[in-house]
Amino acid sequence: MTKRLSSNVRMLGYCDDWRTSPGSTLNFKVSCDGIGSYRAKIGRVVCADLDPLGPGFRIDHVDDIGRGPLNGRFQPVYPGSYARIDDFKNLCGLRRFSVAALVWPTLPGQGCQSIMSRWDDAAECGWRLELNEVGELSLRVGESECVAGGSPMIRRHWYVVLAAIDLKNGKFEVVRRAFRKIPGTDETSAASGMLDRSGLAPDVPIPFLIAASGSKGPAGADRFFEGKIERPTVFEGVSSLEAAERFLLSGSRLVDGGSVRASWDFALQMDSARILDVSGNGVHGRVINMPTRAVTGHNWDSSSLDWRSAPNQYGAIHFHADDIYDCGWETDFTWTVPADARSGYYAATLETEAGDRDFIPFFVRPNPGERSADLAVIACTATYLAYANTHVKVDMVGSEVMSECVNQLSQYELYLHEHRELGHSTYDYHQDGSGVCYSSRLRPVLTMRPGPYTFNYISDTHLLAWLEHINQPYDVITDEDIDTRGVDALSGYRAIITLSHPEYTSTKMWDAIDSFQRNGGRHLYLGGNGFYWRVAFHDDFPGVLECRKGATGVRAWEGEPGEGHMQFNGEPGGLWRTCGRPPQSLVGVGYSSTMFARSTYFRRTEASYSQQFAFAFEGVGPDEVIGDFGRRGGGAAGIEIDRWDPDLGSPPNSVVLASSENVGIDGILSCEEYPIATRATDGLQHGHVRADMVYFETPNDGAVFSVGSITWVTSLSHNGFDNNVARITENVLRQFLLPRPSGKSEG
Amino acid sequence: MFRYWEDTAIYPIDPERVDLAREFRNSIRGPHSEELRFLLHRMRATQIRGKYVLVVVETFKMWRIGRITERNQPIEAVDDRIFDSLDEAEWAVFELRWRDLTGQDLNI
Ligand SMILES: [Fe+2]
Repeated sequence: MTKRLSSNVRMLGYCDDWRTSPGSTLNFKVSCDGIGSYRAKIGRVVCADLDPLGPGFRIDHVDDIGRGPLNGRFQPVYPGSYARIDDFKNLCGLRRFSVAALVWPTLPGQGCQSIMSRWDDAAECGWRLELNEVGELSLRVGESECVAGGSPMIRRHWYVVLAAIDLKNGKFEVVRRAFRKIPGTDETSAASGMLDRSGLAPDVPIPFLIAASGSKGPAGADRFFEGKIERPTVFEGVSSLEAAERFLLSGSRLVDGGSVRASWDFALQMDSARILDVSGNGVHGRVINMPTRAVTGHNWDSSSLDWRSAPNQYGAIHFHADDIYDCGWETDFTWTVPADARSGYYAATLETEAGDRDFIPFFVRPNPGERSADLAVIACTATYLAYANTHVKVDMVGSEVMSECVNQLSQYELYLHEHRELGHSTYDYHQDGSGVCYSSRLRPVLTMRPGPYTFNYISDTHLLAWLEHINQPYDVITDEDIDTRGVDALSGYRAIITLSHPEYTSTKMWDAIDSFQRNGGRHLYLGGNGFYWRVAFHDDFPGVLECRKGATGVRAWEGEPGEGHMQFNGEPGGLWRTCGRPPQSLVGVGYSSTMFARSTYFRRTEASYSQQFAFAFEGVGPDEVIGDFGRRGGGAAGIEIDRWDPDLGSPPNSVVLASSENVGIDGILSCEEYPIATRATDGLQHGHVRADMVYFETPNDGAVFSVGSITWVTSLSHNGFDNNVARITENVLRQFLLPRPSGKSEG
Repeated sequence: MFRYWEDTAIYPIDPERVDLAREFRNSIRGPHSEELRFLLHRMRATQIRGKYVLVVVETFKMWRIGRITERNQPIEAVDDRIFDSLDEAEWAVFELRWRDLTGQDLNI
């Protein structure tokens, strides 16, 4: 008998906005499963790593929530994207009507999937046009069902579907036609019947849903459709398939005659949550739980890859049963940030007497204009979002080959695998095989908890522990602040530090960092694989990151052809490199390789001995190897590494101060670095498989220092922070915090 | 649509090559010979559903072997063994995979 392993996770929470400031109030939302009460406290995070050989787990107590324990309660999550027509009065009272749409199912045969409906599940009345359990098109009216049988519908093929309901004569019919004729399959399938009078829809106010139908419980919707739906339309009267199809394919936004009661053109206001009715009846609606928009429709002909230039070829929405945006939990406690709170990484820690614990991270940054230090640490919340609740270890074959050891699963990863309702990361596939391109923070993000999942968030806190160790004051600014406020979020700081893996960058973030650097700002980029994906945020979707991917880069999934432009702003997504901005052009180095199994060290270059760079190597012997130690793979060069390359935009005045050595067989050249697949592309044989430490100056006394390695910051704590990685980092930081870097020529 | 590889590992494992298993036993973290690397990649690229994982019993201290199930299902335990060494757990998974892929028990 197999034994199921329980995660023992019984308490989880999130807050309404993980960015806050002195004087602001945060609302915390908690769900407990079998927990009556818990205590909550607020702390400033110095190191979130439980590793006994690391800097040491440390959260400085700041405040207690309430005088006694708080009451626990269960709060559910309702995933599944669909569209709802809130004002459906215009669609009521029809005795004879038809509904039609173009559909592209992605999981036919896996459960009932409603295409359009007005269904009251408790009373079992109303109607649903849907794919039934075995993937046939079915029309349910009250207790009557009519099924268009024949060959099963094929996934990822376009169909026109039509249902007609004639309450006057007690008849109903359903029909579908495939767009592409495939020998041996039925192009058309139809069925009709007489309605059983029992259970017929009384004209009660049942909402009109697209891609789902009403459920009994508080979720409000169920039977989610998996796949694309385009131009759903309601006709008055019994329409023929031909007439309906003619209308749907005309793409007309000007509706003739009065027979069209509603027709939603998803190509309109594609960058919003609204869906617009073009019938003139004003029956508009909205999408729920972030289905994917700006996706190709039935008529996409590849003449354009950008929805902005051919919107009429992007009239579809791709719905998923496992989409989730906002858990929408009630608030369980609040905390107002004191006026004198230090900026930093913070967390609410929740604990029960029985030993349950949860950790809800957030970031306190100064209010605009209230800078408290010369240094800003950039909390890479875009990266934290992109990786939020990643399922790579349990969904992707290659994850173990990549890590070259059996994957470890923490309690949170057990929980995430079993509780898919918490949603996925931009590294994951939806259950229908399409890539996840939105990630939200309005849900518990379990990849930001102390535990064995140390990537990004926990590794980044090693840098905070080091700053604390050297008593260096700093403010924390988040990626999202830079996206919102532009360079204003950074101006005034003499230096900024970007952390171990600032991989995701919006255009506004890129422009702000570039502007900061060119206006005298100094930037220590202490990570690897940074400034890699072009992503976007959107004012209408607070807390959501959008990430589209093409056919290159470390993409985990590959975007559908024609769907590389982002919904949020129309910009091309994918690699910054393919958008003409390789990371080298911003920070001197850009991603070249992975080395997950083992890390290595740096060795200084000849150029580094120039007097110009003496400041960086003070206290470091001329022959010392740098960083042959560390808590990730035993070295400061590892996991993902970046190389200097003038062809890819490393500035002409940039200098390589040190390079990784002994990368060996563990280093693997990244896919975008292959013009042609050949042998001999590992670190033993290929010179591009390396990390470069680079320095360059920028106009107005600015400067950039890059290490091009994810494992740099996790080497800082070695030997009680007394080591050459910490020394070099401190040397450069001290220099960067001077009003003007010494040794720099005037003018 | 392009899907990430699901079941593409084809390198055959020769049950006679117990010497490779011995090499792994003696040096779990490597570096390994080229033939052993091929064998390890073959083992590590087994299908995701049913793949062995190490479930953390106590962070940085104790592990047990589990198998990945379908989405929305709890991870299943393989046996009752608890390991306090990651290398020992890694070796135990190697033994299980040897048996799965060759049909023979590894007795070394
Ligand atoms: Fe990454």
